[in-house]
Amino acid sequence: MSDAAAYPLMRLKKINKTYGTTKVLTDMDIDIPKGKIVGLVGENGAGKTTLMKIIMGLEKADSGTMLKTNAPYAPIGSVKANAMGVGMVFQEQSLLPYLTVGQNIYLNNEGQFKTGPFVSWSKLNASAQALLDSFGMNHIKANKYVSDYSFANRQMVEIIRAFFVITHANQNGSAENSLLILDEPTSVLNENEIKVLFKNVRRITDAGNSAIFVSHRLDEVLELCDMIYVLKDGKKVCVLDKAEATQDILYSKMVGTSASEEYYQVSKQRTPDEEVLLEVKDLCLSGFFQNVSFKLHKGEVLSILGSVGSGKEHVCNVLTGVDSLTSGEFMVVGKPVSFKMPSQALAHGIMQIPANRRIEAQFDILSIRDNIIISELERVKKGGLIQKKKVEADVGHWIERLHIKCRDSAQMINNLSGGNAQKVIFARALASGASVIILNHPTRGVDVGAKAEIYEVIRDATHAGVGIVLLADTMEECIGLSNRILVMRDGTVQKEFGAEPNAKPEQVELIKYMV
Amino acid sequence: MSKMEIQANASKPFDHRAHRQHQLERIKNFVPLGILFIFFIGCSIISDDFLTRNNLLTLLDLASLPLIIALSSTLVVIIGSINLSIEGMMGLSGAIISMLALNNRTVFNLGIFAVLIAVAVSGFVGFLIGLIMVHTKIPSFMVTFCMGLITTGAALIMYGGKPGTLSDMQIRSIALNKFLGVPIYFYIALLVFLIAWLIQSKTAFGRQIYAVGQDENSAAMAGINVNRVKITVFTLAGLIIGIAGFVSIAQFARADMSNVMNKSFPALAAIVLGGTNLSGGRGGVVNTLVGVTIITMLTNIMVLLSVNAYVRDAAQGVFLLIIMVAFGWSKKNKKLIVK
Repeated sequence: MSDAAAYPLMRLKKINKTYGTTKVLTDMDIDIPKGKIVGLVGENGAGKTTLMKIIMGLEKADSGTMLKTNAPYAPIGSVKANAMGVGMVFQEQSLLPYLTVGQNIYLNNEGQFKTGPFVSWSKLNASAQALLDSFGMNHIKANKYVSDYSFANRQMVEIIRAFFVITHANQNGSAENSLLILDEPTSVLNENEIKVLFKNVRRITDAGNSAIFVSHRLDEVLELCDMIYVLKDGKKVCVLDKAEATQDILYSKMVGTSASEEYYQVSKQRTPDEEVLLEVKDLCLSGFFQNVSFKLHKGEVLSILGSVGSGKEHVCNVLTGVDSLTSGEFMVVGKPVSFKMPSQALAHGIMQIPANRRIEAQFDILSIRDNIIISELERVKKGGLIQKKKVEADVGHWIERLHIKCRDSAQMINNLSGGNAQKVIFARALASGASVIILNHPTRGVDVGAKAEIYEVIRDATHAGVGIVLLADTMEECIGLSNRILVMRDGTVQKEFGAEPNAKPEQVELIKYMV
Repeated sequence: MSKMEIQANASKPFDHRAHRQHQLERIKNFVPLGILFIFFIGCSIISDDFLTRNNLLTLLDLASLPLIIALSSTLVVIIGSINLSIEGMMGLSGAIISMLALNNRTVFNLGIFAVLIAVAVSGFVGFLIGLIMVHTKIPSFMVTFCMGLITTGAALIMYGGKPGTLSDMQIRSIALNKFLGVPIYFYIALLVFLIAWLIQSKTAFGRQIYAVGQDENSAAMAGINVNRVKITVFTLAGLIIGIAGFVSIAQFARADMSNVMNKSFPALAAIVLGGTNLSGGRGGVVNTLVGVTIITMLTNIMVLLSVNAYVRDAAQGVFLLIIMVAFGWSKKNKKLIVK
């Protein structure tokens, strides 16, 4: 035991990995000390995901060694990794919605609750409840379906499950020396939920385990982690101690340049035309929001800001025909409209880029080309047939305009990185000829570099006369990009702010009307 | 303050909207049962012969074989697969029994062992289906369709176009003898139901079936051997179909393929009618019981009302559609993708 204490819980030595001709990891050396939370930051494509896959045994390194408490560690598959005390909470949740919370936690580990072939679900749920309670999650009931709970609660269940699996299966038979990998666990959690999550991760590591924390949100990494590894282009740039790291240092190490005001390209912000693209008066959707009125001008970026449950998402749903309005007026270029489905909204030139790209927008098994033209099929067909030449020209144009990094237009969209896939969805909206684009968290889960490119695309679109309704991912983004900001709370618009380049409102002012 | 998702309702103890959603979800599970109840009342009103002791016993009798067949496919549907080889496998099972037990075509007289052999063969065919499916990644739809043709062919070859007649009275007794007014095979159906329910609800394997049906990848990540689950489910389906073949041959005494034709889709209809999702992961054997009962009552009431045989099929189709539309009320305003 004293021997093990002298070594880091996990040590990676000279890990190399090549996909085809691309080198994704070069001589990666990483130490994860016992009881510490280690942050892993870097742009998309820096090699974080590959590194985690190698630790989880989902990919095999070309060369290099891994040592867990100085013993060779080379799992094949996540089940083996679990058995050796290494577990991961995936970005996409892996809980099964129509099993109970308890059944999910003990899935495939029901052994201890069995009498003969029969499992006592009540005993299993009671034990799961005790586990949940020990994490302060007593509001989650082990005997209820996972589908009954919010995303945030499911996230906690997921972490508890991962924790259970690795400590339960750990060959030492003790709850120590386990490694928990958290891949972007906070992307959809609110402030309070993040606090609870952090507290519980800390609780796990305090008991003699370690954690790897991967996030695009540097402030969170700084708050939670004891040490931070910065990766860039598959190489380790540096390792920083909590004390010496700041957001600016991390930014500059990650991209090579520090984030400035120009990030949002405020100088390219244009003054909107007088022409009104879309107008709503006293718009209501019963149960969600009431009396929302605004005008969207040509070339304008209008942000709707508000906390979860403020009704902003539903305003967008009404604009795009996902929900039908209860009362109020809705006019597109001066003509009253009422949509029952998104196709009607698109026919009037309104299109949404959904928040949950993978589920709501991306056709995983289609090519980049087909993903782009899916909304403009009406325009590229002639006599019912798709004109191949026109399609290729169009698609080529957008790939070039938006700098989509790909082999060719026939490449599958799910081979692209998050930022590039998002740009494909942007290309779809732009190619559809929509005059109003609703951007629902356009940069969620996208890295710093790709974000800048997406901001450029947004600016270019406004210069081409497109009106944009924005639900921003962060407050800086909202302030940086918008011409005007509507702040919503509890289903009503509280206040409207102008946000011209030299008169941007302060965050504090906005927050006052949000909460 | 770089995060804007400050949740105003974080401290809110009770979300009414979400609660209503759950209530609705819960109610939805009882819709098939409600339909069954309404249908039962309706039948009792429109036909004086419906609510008689004799007719109720007839209903139990009529529902037995369809129940066994539908049960064989219930677990298959829960894992998101489909079985189109029911007819072929049933026919084969019946043919084997008719050839190996006392009959007018061969010299064999294995008695009840013939049944065991037939059920084992059927289980083996199911095992093969699972094996082919997981190793070649051909969808169950195609594998079972082909296996259905193969087993149909095997049965036809076996009795050479002229079905034999079974005269083993021990085997036939499950159809000819009654206990408490219903044939013995009703109790066989009940037993199959009970065993399937136990497997589904009380065992870890039962959870694994649901896990695989909901999300194969997640199930695999949880360490579940997805391939083994699939093979086991199809093996179980094979065993149950073997039993269905046994019941069928006991009823008809002749292993004629025409006796077992058109069983797959009514079975699937009963499963879906009961509320089991064709895309997998939800539902179960109790739902199937409800579905089978509704369909059996529908057939029965047509006979009681002496609906013209030519009209009967069309009328059944129309009624089923109406029931499904009524069932669909709870799905309104939901983004439901139907394939």
